[in-house]
Amino acid sequence: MKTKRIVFLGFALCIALVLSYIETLIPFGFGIPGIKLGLANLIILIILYLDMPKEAFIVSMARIILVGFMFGSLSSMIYAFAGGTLSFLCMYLLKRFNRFSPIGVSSLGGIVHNMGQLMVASFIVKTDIFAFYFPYLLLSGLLTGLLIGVIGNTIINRYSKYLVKWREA
Amino acid sequence: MSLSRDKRYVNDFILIAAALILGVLLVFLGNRKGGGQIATVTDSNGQIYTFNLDENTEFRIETDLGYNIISVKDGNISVSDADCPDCSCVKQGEISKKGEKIVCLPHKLIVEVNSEDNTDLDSITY
Repeated sequence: MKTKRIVFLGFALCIALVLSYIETLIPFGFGIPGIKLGLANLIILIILYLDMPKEAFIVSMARIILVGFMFGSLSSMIYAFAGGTLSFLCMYLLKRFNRFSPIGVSSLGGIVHNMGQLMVASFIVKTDIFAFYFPYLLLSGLLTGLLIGVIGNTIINRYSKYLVKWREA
Repeated sequence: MSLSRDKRYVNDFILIAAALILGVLLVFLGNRKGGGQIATVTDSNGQIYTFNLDENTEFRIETDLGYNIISVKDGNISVSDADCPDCSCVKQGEISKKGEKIVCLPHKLIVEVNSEDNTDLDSITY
């Protein structure tokens, strides 16, 4: 990996961490546990759309580990891993599929992220919370994913021509 | 870039609308039922009766100590009549939530709601 690329990914990870922290300051929950804005996904989405899927995945995982140690617990890390890997996989495949803009990709990513967390939750708790929470988490994932997608789409359209320089650097 | 940007937005819209409709539909389906509550009644002989709170019924439980009439109505269970001295089981009214109890001490009768699924409150707090 070239030095400039490492610097770029370091910046990206840093922004993702700050966004994760800001996210904890914003009350957003509607009384349903486990709902977050997912601001850090903005960074993952942008890196993914700079055609750096591998790097996006690395940043995503590094963010989860660091956030887990800084603000979370082991269990929150397990949830984040499940959601993070699943939503990344989904967004990556959907981007390769090339039929959707970042808005659609991010929306589905948000939904799948919540599904991944719910799967872990229902595995740990061992009651049928899955069926009960599924619709709410689907809607909240859609809402947050859509929000991130709209912001991400704007950034990608306006700035990707500048950001791409980092990739080729 | 095999598709124009506008075409992608149309696809996005279809995807989002589909997810939204699915989500709203599932919320309504989930709220419509909401039942699955089951109540058990234990009498002084240790015999256990089970009632489904979705089915309205009246049931008379008679033991050596006396009788209690259990009635299930619109998802609630109550003791509607009894010949015990203080009738506090009747005064305790209707119950419907998991863990709620009606106790008739003179007749050693316990009515308890135990739901099949954890829809209301559960033991895990976040």
